[in-house]
Amino acid sequence: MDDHMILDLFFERQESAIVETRHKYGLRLQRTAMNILHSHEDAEECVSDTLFKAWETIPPSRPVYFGAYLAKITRNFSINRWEAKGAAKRGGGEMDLLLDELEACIAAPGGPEEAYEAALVTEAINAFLSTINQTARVAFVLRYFHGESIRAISERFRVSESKLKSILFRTRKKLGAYLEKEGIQL
Amino acid sequence: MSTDQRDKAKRLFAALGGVDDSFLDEAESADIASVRAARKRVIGYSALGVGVGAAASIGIAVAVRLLRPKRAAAHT
Repeated sequence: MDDHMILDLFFERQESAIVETRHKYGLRLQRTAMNILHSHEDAEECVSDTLFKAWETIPPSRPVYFGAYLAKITRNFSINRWEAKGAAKRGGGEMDLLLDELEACIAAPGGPEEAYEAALVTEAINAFLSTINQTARVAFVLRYFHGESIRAISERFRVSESKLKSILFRTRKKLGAYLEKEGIQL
Repeated sequence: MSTDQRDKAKRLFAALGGVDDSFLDEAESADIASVRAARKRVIGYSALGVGVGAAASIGIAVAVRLLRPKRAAAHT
């Protein structure tokens, strides 16, 4: 079933909207949640929370990119759950790897402190992403939005892991330089 | 990694949650597109290689045929 039909079901307040959404996007959402949480139970709960949130917000919302809309909700729920469980303190796992890698985009400490404005940073990231080539952009989004592993992305792209690491490394460097040029301090 | 740096990385990771929907949509379908494009490229290059090879063979055969009587005539 295509997205328009599923969204129509939401607007008609038919519970089959949830079933169809889970059927179409459930696995994808679960994978995004699993990449962050590394727990099937927690990931499943995040997917259920996502579907409930979609039920609450559609209507009035009618997202143009339904899959992306759901993925963002799942990602937010997953990060909140990851933080709530104190996983950050335990260390290890893909999330720590992701955070390690993203450090390359951060200016060294000691610079002037500025208030963190999430919207501004997001805007800059989107502007940056529109300037790079599609391969780098897709790899970056899969890695740092969905939290996909290097191996999974390289298999999807049919490139070697070292080639993919190189693409991501160069992209992070460019993003760091871009944020610095835009005067963005996290 | 210092706690400060880790917190900044977390904020950046959170900010990445606001990536434009069109980029997410692109990421969903790009793998299929890129694999298809790569396959098409391979097929295209193979076909081009076969075509060039065939054309070269025919060209050489024709040239040899055309030159042969001239060589024979030159000897006589």
